[in-house]
Amino acid sequence: MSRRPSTIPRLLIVPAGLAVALFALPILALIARAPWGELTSILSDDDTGRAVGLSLVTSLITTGIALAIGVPLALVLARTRLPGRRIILAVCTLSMVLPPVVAGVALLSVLGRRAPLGRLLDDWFGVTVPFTGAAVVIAQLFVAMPFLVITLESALGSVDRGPEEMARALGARPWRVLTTVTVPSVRSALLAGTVLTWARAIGEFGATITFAGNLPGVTRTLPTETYLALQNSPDRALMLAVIQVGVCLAVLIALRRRWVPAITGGRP
Amino acid sequence: MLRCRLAATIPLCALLLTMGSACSGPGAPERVNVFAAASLGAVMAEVEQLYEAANPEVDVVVNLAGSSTLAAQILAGADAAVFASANTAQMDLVRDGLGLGPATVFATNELVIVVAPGNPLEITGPDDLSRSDLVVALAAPEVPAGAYAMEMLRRAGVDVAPATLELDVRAVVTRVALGESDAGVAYRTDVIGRSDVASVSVPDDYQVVADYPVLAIDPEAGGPVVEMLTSAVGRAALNDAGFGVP
Repeated sequence: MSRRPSTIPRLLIVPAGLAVALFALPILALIARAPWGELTSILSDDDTGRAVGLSLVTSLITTGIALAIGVPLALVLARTRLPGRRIILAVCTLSMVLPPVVAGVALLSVLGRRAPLGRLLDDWFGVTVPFTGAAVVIAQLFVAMPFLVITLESALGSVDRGPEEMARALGARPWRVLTTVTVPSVRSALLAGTVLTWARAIGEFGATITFAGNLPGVTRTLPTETYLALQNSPDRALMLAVIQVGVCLAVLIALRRRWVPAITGGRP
Repeated sequence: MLRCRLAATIPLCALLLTMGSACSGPGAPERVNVFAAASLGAVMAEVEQLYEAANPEVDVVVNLAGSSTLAAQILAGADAAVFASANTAQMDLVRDGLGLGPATVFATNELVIVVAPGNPLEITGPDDLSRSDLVVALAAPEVPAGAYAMEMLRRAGVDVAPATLELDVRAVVTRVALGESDAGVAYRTDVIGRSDVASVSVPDDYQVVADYPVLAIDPEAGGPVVEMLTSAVGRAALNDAGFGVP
């Protein structure tokens, strides 16, 4: 904590404080209203367990697939002269601004039983996607992966390309340059993008309910469970929401405190 | 420095100004908030029009949502003059919470089986819903339509493995309309007048009829609206929308 003179106008504290209040007050109110006495009974009931399990599994699979295809996409967009790169990036991040329910309808229009691709899958392989766990993952990918792509693409665009070019000039193969120079240079963006994608995936509701539906143990994720609880037992809904906030907050804080400085060499 | 301060102050002032202007001025028509179950949308639109035509000094504002959402809003202090619920449970919650008298059942709704137009899979009744070649959508038992559907299937002695339990009954109809599901259970009012779905009646023996109670939370402002809803014009509007009237 060094005491350096501030470089920004002090008055900015006021709008910044408003912003903090906007985020903090609802979360604090949620925590204050939640029926903490019922925490253990809610945590141990089967419905909660199934929903939490399904949410964790699907969001982690989503994050894994997002890394497997989203990182290559960001690299291709940032490091090639592919024509129409800007347009491709726009298309690949458009789902961020779609209302999630519309995203679900869009997915149904491709993979639904009467949709072109969905019908082919059904005719050829007997596979129907809606109402399955795969549909949950696809819905999450569709709305969450842009966070990884956009974060990584922008970091790749602003990082100094000198070391990459030098490694290449010194004879390193492209895979070696990628793994030893390029990826390490954008590590914190990669991590931030991965966390954002995971967090968005685990909170996904609108696209999931529209595209995948809702069946306990198959497609009923924690947000859907919470919404349903709100119909009859608001207390349970509040507690479920707090559990979800708690899980996500714990991950974010752990990353901020421990992993990020470790990766950036001690810089906060 | 001064400029920076000014720049930072302007949005703040704008914010305060908009907050101030949210209060309505004098001379505005009296606002009567009607909280109505989503399935009453068409009926309420008609009642609103008729009531406002007869009472120009009143602005009827209809707030449509699931009955449980509306009940929660009213119990949390929302300014509702009238509450029209799609089930008695939510109405009882509100009555108990606010210490109000009994409500009036003004409409009934019955269940139908929703199928594709022309009923290509030849679904004839609740028994068919257990067929393994059908993708069936039901409403979740947490929402009234889902609870009624489960009760109907129980009475019919049919064991159904639904592909999905939708969060509201309209979504069940949408599933069938989009072709994602072959059949579903919804209210008659959800399918009446639609060409993208057809319906199969549920035999009376298994039928579960939903009662729609209405209550003037604010007797002075809401009472006349409830009267109109239960009058001849209100009953006609309800009939047109597929409701039964007691």
